[in-house]
Amino acid sequence: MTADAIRQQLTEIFREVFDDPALDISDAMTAQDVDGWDSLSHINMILGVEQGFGIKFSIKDVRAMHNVGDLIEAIAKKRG
Amino acid sequence: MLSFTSPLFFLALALAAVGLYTIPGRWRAAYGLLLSYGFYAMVSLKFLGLMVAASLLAYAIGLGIARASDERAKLRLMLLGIGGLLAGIVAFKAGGAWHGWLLPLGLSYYSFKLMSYVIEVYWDEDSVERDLTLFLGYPAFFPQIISGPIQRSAPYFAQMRALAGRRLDEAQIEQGFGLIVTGLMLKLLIGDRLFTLIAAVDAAPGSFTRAGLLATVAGYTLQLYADFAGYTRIALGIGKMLGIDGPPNFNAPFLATNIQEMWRRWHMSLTTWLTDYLFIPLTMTLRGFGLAGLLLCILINMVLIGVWHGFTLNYLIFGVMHAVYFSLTLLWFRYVAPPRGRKAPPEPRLQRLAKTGLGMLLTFALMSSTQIFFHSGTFAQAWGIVRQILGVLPSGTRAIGEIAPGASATFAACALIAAWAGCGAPGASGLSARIAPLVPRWLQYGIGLFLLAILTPDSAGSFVYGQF
Repeated sequence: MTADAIRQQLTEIFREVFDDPALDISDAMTAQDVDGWDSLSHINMILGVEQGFGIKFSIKDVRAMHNVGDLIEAIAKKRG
Repeated sequence: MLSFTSPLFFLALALAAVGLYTIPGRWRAAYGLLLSYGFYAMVSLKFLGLMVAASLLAYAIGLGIARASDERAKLRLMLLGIGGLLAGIVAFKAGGAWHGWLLPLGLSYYSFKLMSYVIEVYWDEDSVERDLTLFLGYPAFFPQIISGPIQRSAPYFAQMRALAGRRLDEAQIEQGFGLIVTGLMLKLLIGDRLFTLIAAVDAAPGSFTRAGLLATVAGYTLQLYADFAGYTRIALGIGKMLGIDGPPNFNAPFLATNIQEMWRRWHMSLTTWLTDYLFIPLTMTLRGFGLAGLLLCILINMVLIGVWHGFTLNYLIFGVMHAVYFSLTLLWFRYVAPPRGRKAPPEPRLQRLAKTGLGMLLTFALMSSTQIFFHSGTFAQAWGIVRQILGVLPSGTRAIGEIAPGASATFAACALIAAWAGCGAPGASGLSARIAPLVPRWLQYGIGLFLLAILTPDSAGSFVYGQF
């Protein structure tokens, strides 16, 4: 899966989880940049990504993600 | 005992700070450690050994995790470290609740620091600290030992390293001094005055009117804020003078418009600790259970916040009440309330203001209702106050004004000032800057010290959070 394809699918997931059809994502984006992205919705986002991409993250994986770019990288790595 | 409110302490601090910036940089970490151990030994020589043992345990576990080659060995070491540190807290808190043991000074705070270090190293081996002198100074750092704030290891080590290579920073000294003076004023002039009046009501709540009792319950929250936020400012100020910026504990908590937001603004160094090391791992583990799993995580998290203060029924009830309020807020926003933030449709200004004001009042009222259990020494006392407020028990006829001459005016003034401070003290820094050409900063601090000297009540001094 290419980074662009991941980004496209991830955008859809983000729009759904954060209930904002106009939301666009970028690599440098963090929880501060998105309305309603707190520790409660974070877990929904992780769950949405896991189901959408058919992968499983560990707590350690999630802790290492500091922005959307890290998330995309982690997805790419899991998808092999 | 050297207290953060005693003039002798600040004299010693000034000398200590001069020493820190005079000696060569490479000795500063060792000097800081000596100061911290010296401070601890003066307060409690008996328990210094316990803190050193806990520190050495975490240090060794960190090295072990960094050296271990396979994941299972790392996990075992991490669990061993957390288990050992947790056992210490549980043993002493249980002993304190059931056998009247004395709690070792700062145990909850330095143990939480050490646990966060062990977990950080487990998550990322690069977080390991091999310099023993530097490491030992982290849990022991005396400005944060009595009641936090609970600093993370990475920013502490980074700042302590930087301290070795830099000169005295005048701005840092001045800001530190400002934090100490305003913290002392909040604590001694406001918090301790409220405390005296609240203690008079505590002695016989049944003799007071229902309105007087309601005002007292609001006073619990305001007094706790003035006490703990005052302490935190002093602790941050002392740390700043010694070159270390600590994490904030309060961010204008009374501006919160719901209980979720309140917890992002209240005792933040504890709540972010629990979010990172308990709540997120827990929600990750229970993510297959959907909403029920999330609500369970909230319950566990809030109950732990409660019993962290002590193993008593009242702290447990405090935690459960917050879990219920928090969960209801979550459900409300998820299923009932219209969208917020950017997605919200524009609203007339007046309507928005009214909503914000109502939200703030409701949040404060909910917070204060939990403070009945947090503040009261026994369940019977707390339950009596609840029943009196609900009208099940009859109220008396005394008013707060009858406690002492001028008591109601003192109570109202202190409550208003504490509420204003808890809203982020709007206007204060602007005013200070505007009058600076006429009344320079040093004179402003001088006025603060003068007010402290003439207005501090005789009974003032001990901190609420010192007992945890």
